[in-house]
Amino acid sequence: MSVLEYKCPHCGGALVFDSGTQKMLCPFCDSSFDVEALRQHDENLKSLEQENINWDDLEESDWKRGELEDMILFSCSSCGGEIMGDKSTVAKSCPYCGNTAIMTKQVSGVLRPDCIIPFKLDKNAAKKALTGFYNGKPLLPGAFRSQNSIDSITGIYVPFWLFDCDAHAAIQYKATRVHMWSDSKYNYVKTDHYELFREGDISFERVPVDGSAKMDDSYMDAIEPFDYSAAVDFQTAFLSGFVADKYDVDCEQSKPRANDRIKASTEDAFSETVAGYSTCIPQKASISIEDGKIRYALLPVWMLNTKYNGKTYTFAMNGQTGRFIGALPIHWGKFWLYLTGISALLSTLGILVINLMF
Amino acid sequence: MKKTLFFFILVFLAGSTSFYQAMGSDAYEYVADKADLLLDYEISELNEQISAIIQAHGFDVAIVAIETTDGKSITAYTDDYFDQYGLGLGPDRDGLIFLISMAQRQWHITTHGKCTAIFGGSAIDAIGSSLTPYLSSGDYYSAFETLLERIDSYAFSQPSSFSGGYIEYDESSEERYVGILAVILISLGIALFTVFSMKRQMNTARRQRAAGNFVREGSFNLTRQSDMFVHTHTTRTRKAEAPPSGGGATHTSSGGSRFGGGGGKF
Ligand SMILES: [Zn+2]
Ligand SMILES: [Zn+2]
Repeated sequence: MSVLEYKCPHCGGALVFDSGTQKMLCPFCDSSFDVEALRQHDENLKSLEQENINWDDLEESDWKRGELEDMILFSCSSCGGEIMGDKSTVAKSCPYCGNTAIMTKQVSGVLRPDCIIPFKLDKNAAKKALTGFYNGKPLLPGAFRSQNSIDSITGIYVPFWLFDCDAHAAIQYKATRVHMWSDSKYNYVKTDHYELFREGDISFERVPVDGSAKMDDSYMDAIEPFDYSAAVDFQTAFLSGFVADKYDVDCEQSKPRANDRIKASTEDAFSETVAGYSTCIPQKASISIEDGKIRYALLPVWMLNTKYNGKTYTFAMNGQTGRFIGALPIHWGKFWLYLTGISALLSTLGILVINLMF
Repeated sequence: MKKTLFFFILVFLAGSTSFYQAMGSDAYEYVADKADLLLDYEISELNEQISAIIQAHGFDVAIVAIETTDGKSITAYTDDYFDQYGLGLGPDRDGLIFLISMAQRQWHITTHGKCTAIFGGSAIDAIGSSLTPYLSSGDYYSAFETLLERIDSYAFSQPSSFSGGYIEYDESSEERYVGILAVILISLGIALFTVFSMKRQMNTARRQRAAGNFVREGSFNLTRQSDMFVHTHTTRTRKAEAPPSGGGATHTSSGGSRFGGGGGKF
């Protein structure tokens, strides 16, 4: 019988068939298994071997006549940042470093965006959001708010690579169920060990990875998500009054980041199907990406810079949803004051309670 | 955070209520001369003195003379007597009992509540040494008078508030310090959690680990799953033995009260 080839999933020893119980027994660790369960287990192991990642080439669209000529490229001689605008755009300062030494060039050698989400919120909305962002921040230095002036505020179309795909995953987990009880003398802990297997599909739509090295990834991730239903075909007219960042990270370089995020979400979705165990640890996962499509999109972001004590603070707002992100300076004096103040207050209350007790 | 604090206070309040035990009745004689050591007028004299001490200091006092402890240890007998007759005043049952057993020629003082703090080990020893000469010579009335004088003077030397009185041989002071330490640590923990969440708000730029926002709705489809039992493992550990009770100068009676005190022979 071919079943004799099975190995014990617990200790790896060769299993033998026991005709009495109609089960496979492990002579080394005394475990016993259904033949059908072992057959499945073997199949699971095969599924775990396969992993493919297939992204199609970028769907390029050609520039229409006159489109490139309608745009100008601004190049910052200080930080090297490059932005594009329509002909009427006057770039006074670099949105990344605030430098005013800007060179003007012809646009060439860039891909035409597949789609664009137009700005929905204007400059005033961004300014208002910044003041709102200061509220409810007890550790903000008082002077930051009062001395604060907005150094620059720019509406930028940020280049994003959008990744669509179907993911196929096979994941193996080791899980335990723990029971505890005790008698008069001993405490007992019984741990049942399980091997779990999950296989299935999940699809992703337009996972964004920003194509700008100048843009902090944490900022661009944090202003997600955009509502893609408002995306329209690209036209240079949308650039009027705004600038577009010229991508400097191409879609090929962005793939690993897209893969990581897709795999992480796939693992999350499968982990949620495991219930009723005390612990569950993924052992092996094979995640394949199929039918992967990549598109190039321009998404609207307001970038704000403020200066405080000679340091620049950067904020970003989703130009469509208004989600506001930024990093503020911390007043360490306030930090310690709150730490000691809260500790002292709670300790005093607690000691009062204790004095009532004893 | 507010919830944690509330819960924490609640736990302590719930714990403290168990300390408030039923108050005992005070229908008993202050002097119980079951060994017939005293004359009637001596008893009433002592009763009056005790009554004055009780009014002045707010704790209970009793003098008991017996023939024998019926095989019990004198400590246990005295403690049980205290419980049995519901001695002690107030919620903490503050009180002191002096018991003398003629068969064993032994005396014992049991203290409870604030009396345990006032009459520590050294105080009991001092009281004992001033009584022993009278007891040995059979002058019981003088012994008891001296006893009451010493009780009165010890009580007077104590501050009226007993917040600082729990120093000597007292288990509850240890518990209290552990409690205070726990309170400080928990407070520090809550404060750390609060300020670090404040600090976290200062920088909201965070990289995304996953892409959960971009899963196509309804696309997740599980095609195969199995949960296979592999093996089981049971461990057994011996329960920790209950820590030995008593130690130091306090002990717990069969009725569950915590007493202090001491005694000697004559
Ligand atoms: Zn085995
Ligand atoms: Zn620059």
